[in-house]
Amino acid sequence: MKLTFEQVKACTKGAMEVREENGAAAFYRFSPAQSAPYDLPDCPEERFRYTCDTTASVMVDFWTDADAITLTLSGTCLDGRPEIPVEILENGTMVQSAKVARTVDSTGQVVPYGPATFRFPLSKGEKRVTVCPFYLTVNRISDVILENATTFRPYEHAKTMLAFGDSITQGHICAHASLTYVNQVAMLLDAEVHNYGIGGETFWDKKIVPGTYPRCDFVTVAYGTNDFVKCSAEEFDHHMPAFMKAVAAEFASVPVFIILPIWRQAEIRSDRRKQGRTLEEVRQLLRQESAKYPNFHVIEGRELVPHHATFYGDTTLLHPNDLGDTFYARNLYNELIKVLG
Amino acid sequence: MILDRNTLESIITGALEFGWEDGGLAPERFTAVQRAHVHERSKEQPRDMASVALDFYTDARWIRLEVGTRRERKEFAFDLLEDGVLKAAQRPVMPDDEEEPFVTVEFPLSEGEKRVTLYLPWARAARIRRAELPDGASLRPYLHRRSFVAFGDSITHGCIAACPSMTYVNQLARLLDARAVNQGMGGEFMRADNLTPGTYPEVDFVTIAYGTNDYRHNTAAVFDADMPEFLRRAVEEFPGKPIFVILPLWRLLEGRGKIWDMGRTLEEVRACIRQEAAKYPNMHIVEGAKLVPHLPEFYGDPFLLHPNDLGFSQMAMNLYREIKDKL
Repeated sequence: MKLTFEQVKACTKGAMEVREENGAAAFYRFSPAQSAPYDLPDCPEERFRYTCDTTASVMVDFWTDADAITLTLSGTCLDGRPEIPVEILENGTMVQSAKVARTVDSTGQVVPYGPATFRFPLSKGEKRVTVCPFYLTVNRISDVILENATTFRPYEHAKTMLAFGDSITQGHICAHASLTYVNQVAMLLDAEVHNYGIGGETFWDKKIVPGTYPRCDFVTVAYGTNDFVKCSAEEFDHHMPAFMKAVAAEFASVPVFIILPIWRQAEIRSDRRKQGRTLEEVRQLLRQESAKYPNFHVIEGRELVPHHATFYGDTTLLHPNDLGDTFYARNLYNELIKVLG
Repeated sequence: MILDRNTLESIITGALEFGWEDGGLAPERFTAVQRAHVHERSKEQPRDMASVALDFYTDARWIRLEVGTRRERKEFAFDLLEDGVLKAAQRPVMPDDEEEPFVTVEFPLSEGEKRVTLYLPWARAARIRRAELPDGASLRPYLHRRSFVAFGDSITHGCIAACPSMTYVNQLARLLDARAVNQGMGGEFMRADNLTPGTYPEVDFVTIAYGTNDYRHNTAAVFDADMPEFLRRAVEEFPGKPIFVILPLWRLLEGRGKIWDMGRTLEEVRACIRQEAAKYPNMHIVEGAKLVPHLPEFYGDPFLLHPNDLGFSQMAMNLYREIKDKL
């Protein structure tokens, strides 16, 4: 059974749009209206516009009894990584992964990768199959073939969540896209997630584009760690409350979870960066602002990831690794279900 | 404030009995009666501290332990959690020059009252010679919501976790707010005598995770006699309690379709266990092959047999999703 574009589109999750481009399904987690602010001159960083098109938390998710799935992967990459992975999950557990090898070092430039075709054998009988592309690249999928399939239908989630945040929300520094904290907590909650995480982002008053979001059951917001380093107090004191006000207005009828910055090594010495505040002082300001809105729930981010190098993927102990994100997701889940039930 | 024996016993979880050896408290995850039935090849393993921890509330700003152990493996690990979050780990190296080596581990603690969980090394026997908190510190045991017994082999024991808090049994226990008695032993088969009737406390549920060693090293005749008897004993010992039979995890040998002394593939071994467990209404099968990703990054050995900390995290989370609605 070769899937048509319409069939691939029907089982794509986490994308605002799926377009047919050069025979492949192209996934857009930001709608044109949502990415429009990033084309403006006052967009904080130029690279954010490219990042909008990366496929964080976008997945192709369906039931089938196929013996194997073949697909072709292509896209573009902005950094110099030598391999672009894709993962296959069965019934929510990662069972296989493959990598597209690259020979071009494109650090700082957008360079195409692929196409590369992979065949993944699947287990017998009907099962949920999830194709999970990488969160840091722009990805296209084409020529999807389900071998010996007699059944095929999209997977329907029980809930929908929207996740706003920075690089940690986008997925850095997970080696496996399905193990980012957002994807793991979504799996635990059986939620389709629209991931608006952008690496390097801070609170920004133009981020929220009113009236453009899908209906959702809850929202998570996880900024602050970059604000601590990159923003002046004046910038933070303007953008953070403005962002919170915009979120409160747009998502007035659902729970909004404000995830305070997770622990990072910079805290050990009570560092003060551009803002002139410690990270704990930044958290306190977020707590105070959140308290103004009855549907906002503060999550103590500092208690989500163990304070140990084992759980971080970089030497600065800023970005959790796969293990750290597993704990992040699990601890976050425990907090979310206290409110969601 | 040195904790006396009674106080120390009250805050230790994962032990069925306590001994006193060479001036130190020895938590035992197997009773003496149970140890008498352990196979000769596994005789030393019941003394290991798998899933044994100090678990209590305190406002203390530090805790200090003097712990003695056997010297077969030089390095061993202690994990300290506050309110369920891992905050620190220590890997003391045993001194070479002492007959009965003891090490002292000390952890600073944060301000105010919090739950402290201090995991002892999963792969070592230990005697706690001294446990100390600052004078005047508050102390009361943490009371879990549930309890369970975990039967199994090396994977249940904790092999190959780098951090004792990261074994799948310990992670599952924290997810379920459960006190775990870990009776995993490396290399073990689903052997009837691994469950000694009449020796277990009241628990809320049971997990059983054998089969991978049977596949590799056991014979069909022994397995076909022992496996049904073990499961029958479990149902009799824990009447009416949910018993989760975790089928063998995926392993590298499986992908090659290898058949050993038993003359069966691993999937055929799973089928035998599935068939037997289906006879008992309170037994729930967990498809072990779906608990850990089938990728080298999730295993800690080149044979892709024992999950590493990341693999255990996936295993615990997937197991939790299977179990939680059935309790």
